[in-house]
Amino acid sequence: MTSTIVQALLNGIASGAVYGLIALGLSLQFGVMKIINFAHGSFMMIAMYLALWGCQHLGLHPLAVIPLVAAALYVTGFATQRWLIEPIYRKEATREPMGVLIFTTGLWIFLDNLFLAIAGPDYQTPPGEWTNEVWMAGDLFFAYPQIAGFVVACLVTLLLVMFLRGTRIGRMIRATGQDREAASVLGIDSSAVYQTSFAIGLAVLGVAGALLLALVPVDPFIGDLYGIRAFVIVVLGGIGSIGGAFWGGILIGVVESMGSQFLPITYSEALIFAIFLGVLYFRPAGLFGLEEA
Amino acid sequence: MSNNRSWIFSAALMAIAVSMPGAALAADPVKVGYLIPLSGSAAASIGQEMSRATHLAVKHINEAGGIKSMGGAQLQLVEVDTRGDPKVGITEAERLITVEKVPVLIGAFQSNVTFPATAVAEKYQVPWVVDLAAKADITERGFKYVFRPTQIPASGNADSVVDFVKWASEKTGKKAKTAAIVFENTDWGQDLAKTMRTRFKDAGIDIVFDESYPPNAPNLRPLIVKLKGAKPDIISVTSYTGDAIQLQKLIAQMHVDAMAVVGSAAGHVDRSFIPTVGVKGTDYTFTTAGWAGYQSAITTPFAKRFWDDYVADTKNEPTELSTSAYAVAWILKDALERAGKAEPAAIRDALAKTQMKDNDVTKLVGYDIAFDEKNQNNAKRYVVQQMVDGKYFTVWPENLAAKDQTMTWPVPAWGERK
Repeated sequence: MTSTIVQALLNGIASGAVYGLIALGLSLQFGVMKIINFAHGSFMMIAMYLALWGCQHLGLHPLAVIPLVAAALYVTGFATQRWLIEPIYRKEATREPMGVLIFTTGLWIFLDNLFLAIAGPDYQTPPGEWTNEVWMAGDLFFAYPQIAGFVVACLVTLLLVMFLRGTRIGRMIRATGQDREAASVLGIDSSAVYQTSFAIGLAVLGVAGALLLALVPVDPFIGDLYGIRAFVIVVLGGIGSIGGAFWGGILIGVVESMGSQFLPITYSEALIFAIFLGVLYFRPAGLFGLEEA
Repeated sequence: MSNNRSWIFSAALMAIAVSMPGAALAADPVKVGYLIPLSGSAAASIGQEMSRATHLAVKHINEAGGIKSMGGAQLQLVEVDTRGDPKVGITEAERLITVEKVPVLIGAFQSNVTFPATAVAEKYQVPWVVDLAAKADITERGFKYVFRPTQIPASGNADSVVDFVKWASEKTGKKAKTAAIVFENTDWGQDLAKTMRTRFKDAGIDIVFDESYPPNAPNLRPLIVKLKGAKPDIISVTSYTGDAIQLQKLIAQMHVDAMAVVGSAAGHVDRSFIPTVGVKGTDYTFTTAGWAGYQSAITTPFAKRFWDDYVADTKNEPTELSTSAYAVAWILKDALERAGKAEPAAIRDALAKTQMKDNDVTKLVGYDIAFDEKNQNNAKRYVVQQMVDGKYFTVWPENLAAKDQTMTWPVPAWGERK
């Protein structure tokens, strides 16, 4: 029994770190631009397919494709912000960016169906046995992708925090997020900042997608499942808070994994949303949403 | 010039036809209304697969001289695309009966289309041979004109899981004492779980784990951790493709050792199951299946011709879907021979008296064809297959078991596999 509980706890932390990483990019975009990107899950699905094709056609290891996918998603993010979102955003600069919200919703449905046509409806995993390899510690079993997911997710989160705190561009991003007008008075080009932060957000999502591909098979609609979860985590952790997304992810992972050991599995999803609603009610800024307040 | 010639030719044909009224009348084709989804829904690819097989059966029947008792009348399919839409199914059934005057209908694969559309046929008293729609109520209503020879309600799938476990326990002397029921939380999953619960209990097998999960669950690892703690002898899994893949991968990764993992067809027989989980991860896994496959079922020249022509036509191997569609046309042909005339009432009465045993059709599908008082064929059975080296082999029932393959029961522990 104890080993089951320990296993469940560690599994929860490992999957939670990846959930947090998926939510990170969303939180960054949300925090800086105040826009809701409903296509977030679809971009993750694209990252998973790019990783899959990298493994299939270039013969790369599931971990070796990560930098390629991150770079591809960076470019995708930059282009999406520069040529698709920014024109809409600019027209609505004086009011709530409703158009962007509707646009990303359309993009979500379009991308899902585009990949249904390109990749087909079948579930796919990268070739090779690495994704099924297991490390055993006594009674405890950890799949290599679980361990890799946890380590890489922690590393990337740490790097992003250091980047935002320690570099000039990072500080510009944070300044724009805190007060766009004050930042532009100080000579910060907000449109360039938006492009960079959207691109960085998607690059991080690219890393997360590649890690997730080793854990679960990809299909054109997988983004819907994880996209919703990412929103929950972002709000739970506090919008715009990088640390909040990370800890929010861990919390959701542990609740999902541990809750299932004591309750019927179908309740654990309800439990996640119950916690979500509770936090929204008692701490609308999120558990870690102090920086914004 | 050639136009001219063909005009003369057809005129000559007409003259012959007119001069022999009896022969022309006898050769009137028998129209068969066929409803099947060919576009517009996720089921369209299945509908197309079944349609190809139905057309092939009609071709084979016609080539062999049509319906002999009707003077060699040819079968003529009047095919309609339901687009997976119940409304289309209803209106098209009505049109086929009242405008096209078909004396019999077949189809329509999906339960939600077949269920209301067969009610139209019942109203007009035109017989309908259902292909693969599994909804229990299609025959439970006790309709007089609706027959289901090649499908049983979903609970039959669960029956086969339990019957197989009992049989394997006795056969090998290695008795399963406990079972886990893992199922998706839908009507279908709950239906099967309910049947398994009572049937396992009746068989003296304790249920030590009984859990559902929401379909398309993002992360099933927690479920597998819990399942492993329960240490069941048998793990029954009722899932569609995505979840079936995830569960099986995790069972292999987490070394969840049981005497057997038994799937309930669906996800476990999906063409992407083995390639996505991997050969090592699927080895020795059992699953029910609606058809026993090449080794077990393609044993007669009749079956071989179906297999070869189907493969030549579609470049794919037949599955339960195409095999059942092919068989339905032959079951109808058998009834038409005995009816002797293309009239709905006569065809209905002939269908009701269908008794097929040990013939080409029953050898192909793997079970006898006869109807109970509700026009349901209760002889249809799900077989059980074991996956070995990335291929499915039928292990149960014994008369359909693949000849050159022996069942492995209990399966080796994950840690002891190469």
